[in-house]
Amino acid sequence: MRKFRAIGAALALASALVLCLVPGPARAAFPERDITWIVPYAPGGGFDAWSRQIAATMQKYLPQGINVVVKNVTGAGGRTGSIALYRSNPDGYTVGILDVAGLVPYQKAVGAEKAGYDMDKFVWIGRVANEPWVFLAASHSPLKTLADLKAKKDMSWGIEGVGSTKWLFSILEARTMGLAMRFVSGYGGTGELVPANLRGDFDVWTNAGPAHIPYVKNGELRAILQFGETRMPAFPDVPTAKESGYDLVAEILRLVAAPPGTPPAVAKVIEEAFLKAMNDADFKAWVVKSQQEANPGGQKEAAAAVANFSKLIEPHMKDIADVVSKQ
Amino acid sequence: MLDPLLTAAGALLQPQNALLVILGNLMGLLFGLLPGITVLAAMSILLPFTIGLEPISAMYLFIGILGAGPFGGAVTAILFNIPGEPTSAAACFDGYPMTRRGEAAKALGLAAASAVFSSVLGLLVLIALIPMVRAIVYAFGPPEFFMLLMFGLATVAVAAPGNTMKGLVTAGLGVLISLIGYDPITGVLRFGLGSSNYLWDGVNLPAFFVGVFAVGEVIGYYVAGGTIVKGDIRVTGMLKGTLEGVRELFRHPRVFLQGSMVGSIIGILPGVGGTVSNFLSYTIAMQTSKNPETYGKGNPEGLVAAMSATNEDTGALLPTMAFGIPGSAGSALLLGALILHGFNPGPLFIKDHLEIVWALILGLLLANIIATTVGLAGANLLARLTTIDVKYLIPTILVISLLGAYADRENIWDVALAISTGVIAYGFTRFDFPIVTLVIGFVMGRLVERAFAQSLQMQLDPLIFFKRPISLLLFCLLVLLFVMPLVRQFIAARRVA
Amino acid sequence: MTGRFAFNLLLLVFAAYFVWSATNYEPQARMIPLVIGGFVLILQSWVTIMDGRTNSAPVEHAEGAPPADEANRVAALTGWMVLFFGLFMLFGTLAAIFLFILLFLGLRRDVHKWIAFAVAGGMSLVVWVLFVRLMRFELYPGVLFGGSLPSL
Repeated sequence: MRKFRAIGAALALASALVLCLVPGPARAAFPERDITWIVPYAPGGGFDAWSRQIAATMQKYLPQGINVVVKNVTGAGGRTGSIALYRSNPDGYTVGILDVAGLVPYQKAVGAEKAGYDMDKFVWIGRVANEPWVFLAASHSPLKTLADLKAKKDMSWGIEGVGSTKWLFSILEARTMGLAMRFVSGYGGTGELVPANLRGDFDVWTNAGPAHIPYVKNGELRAILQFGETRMPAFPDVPTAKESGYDLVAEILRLVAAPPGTPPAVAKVIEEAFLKAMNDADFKAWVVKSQQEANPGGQKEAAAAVANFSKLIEPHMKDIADVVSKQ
Repeated sequence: MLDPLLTAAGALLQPQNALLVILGNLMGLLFGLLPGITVLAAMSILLPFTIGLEPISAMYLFIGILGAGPFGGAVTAILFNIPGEPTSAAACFDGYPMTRRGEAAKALGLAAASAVFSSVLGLLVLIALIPMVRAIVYAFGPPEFFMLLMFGLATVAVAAPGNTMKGLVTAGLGVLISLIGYDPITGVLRFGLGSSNYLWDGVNLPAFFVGVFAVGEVIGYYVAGGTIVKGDIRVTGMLKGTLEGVRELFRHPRVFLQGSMVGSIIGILPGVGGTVSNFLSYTIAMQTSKNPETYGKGNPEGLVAAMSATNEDTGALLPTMAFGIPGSAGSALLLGALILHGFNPGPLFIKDHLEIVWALILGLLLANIIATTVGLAGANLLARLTTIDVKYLIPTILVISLLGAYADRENIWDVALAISTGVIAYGFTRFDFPIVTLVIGFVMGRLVERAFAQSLQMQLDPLIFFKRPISLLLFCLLVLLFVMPLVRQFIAARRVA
Repeated sequence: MTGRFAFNLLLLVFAAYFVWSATNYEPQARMIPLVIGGFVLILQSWVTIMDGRTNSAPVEHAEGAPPADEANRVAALTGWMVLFFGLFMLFGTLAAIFLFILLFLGLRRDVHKWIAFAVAGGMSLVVWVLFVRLMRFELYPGVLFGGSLPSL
């Protein structure tokens, strides 16, 4: 009798141990707790505003009580936060929004090791928007059409900093269309570039996102060209580069990603909630009110967008790398 | 015009909004007090929680915080020589010596009065200048900025009377330290010491200030022991002292007006920021005073100069409203809050949403008044701390300050930065190197280089500074500012001979 | 070598570093650092020499001469701060605050143990209420509890 009891106890103990060692069933419903959404930029900016709205809306499409909490991790022009996302635990409880145009060139220039991240390894969740870049000048400037631009021998472009995304896209635009280009840099953001342009510090500049829209609408700034596939609803009268004969589609890419190694099933759950949020009626109303344009896409669209962008800058990579690797 | 004003005023009378202004004030005072944690950082942290509020309510909360910040920062500056806010740091120089003489209450009263009245003056200037705001912003381009900043930077030559050589050394070091990081003009990451991310944005301002002021000071406490108020001095009573302080303000009208103008102008110009204005005002006041050597030793005029320039957030409302473009980091956050609520602030904002604008103005007015009354009452309690033995203050102040250094961007390396900077800062004061000039160099160095480079990039013309009217005017003023004392000395010398 | 002389040398080294490092950058990026750095080097050399000459008479401070064991005290407090940083990094904010104040005050002979405990506890409580409850700010959890070190 005692022997059976001993064996029984041993078996019970053994099975308990084995059960403890077996990893929790994969079918345990993800998510079970709050998800963190990393924004590599300061609160109140474009990426931050998008993220907070999406995060708040996503909560509706996730199980009851699960929140999506936005966390700003700023620094190094967005790299600190992006690296923080890259290094996070790939369990699906951390996602983030990335400014692809800022990250890809740097990695291509200095390599994934030094950069601290590898764009090929991020697990993409989806695309928020790909707002086209717009070519801007002050309305009191004599530059009105593409022909004027091409005729001007010396043209100064306003940018935030050498090596930044505005710089990158300025180069793409200038080279593709054969425009003269030299920079006036050091402005702290779109907020400083608008009055600087109106003041006459520089001739032209390029920007993406809604910040310049009110100025074009009230006539102070002039949009000369836009760089989307098709004309934006905000600028129905402005020709696209494509229409003018240049095969250049330049957009700001706002993509959502999860750290490398996030299981596909988990990523799918997040993608679903994300897409539902993007198509939510209240969310869409916010987008319209803030004069922005969403372009929701899922994992495939996001990955494709990155690949496209990579191809776009490849021909210019040598010069880009020269500059960007100084950082 | 009147309708939105009534809407805003009406909103203020709603208990929820009135409470929010008061709550904002308390938070602004608290975060103003705490070294390292700027009211801006506090506002950023609170930003997402305001999503649920009405836009006007959120504005009242934030403006409450903003309005109380400067005085809050001045309290710790005056009592402990540790500024709670970089925008009130210059209050240390003369406020702290006053505390050591037992005149803490007077210093606090003076600081409060200067801050409140300059804010009101700033509001009047704001309202008066509304029709001209665009003209002003368009008139100030990089060359004008450069000249304006040179005012500040050049005064380091005279900011340390009797110790000019060492003053220049620390100023130069301050400038060099400010150059650490990514340079937008050339795209180069300079002096990164191998770090490609941490030092990319340069030496973090709050962490640097915590190091230079808080840590450096605490080391001093540890070495000296004892209490802050020198043992045998009688501390004047709170109420009596405060009133004396308020009265004192009216004995220095010129400096007060100068400081208020400096603060308002710096606020109007986007991109310069509040930290510059109080130092600029301080050094200009020193330069134009008849006895510059009394500055830094408890001359109330120095305190007036510092505190009357803390109204830059008022001035900053101007471009914020006219363009939807923030004139200061504080108003940038306000705009951020608006963006979060789905607005796209732009040139039409002032037309379409005048009630929000009025809310900001009324809120600011109210915030200043509440902040100073509550602040003075609270300061009384804090003033008692200056009589406690420093052994209790050391760990507590250290912990709060270093936490503040961490909290600004949640980066623990900032704590290490604050500690190392602090040890060196102690060395500076110990071996007679002035801190004033170090801070001026640090705050203005990078801005000056950038403005200079931008000016040259604009027209590729090195003489651009002299071809634009305002820039030329500022240059002449700058020369005058320096030549005048020399001329005075010359005349005085001749008279003696 | 006196502390004063050592410090002066340290400043010279700083300035020299900036000048040397600047020579590696392109002309526009190195102009201001070279000019200012060079200027500081020259001035600071002068200061070092002058200070060395008027040598042992320390400048009269308003509060009188610093205590003889000054260097030890500075070193001691620096050590304390490094300890705080270590605690902060490993155990997180609240633990570091509590432990640091407890140790700092508790180890002193002229402070009652329970006062040390009270101050440490009080401060931690205040920080917790203010940051965690009121502002819902995330205090650093510490490397041992899942925190990550930001990239350098």
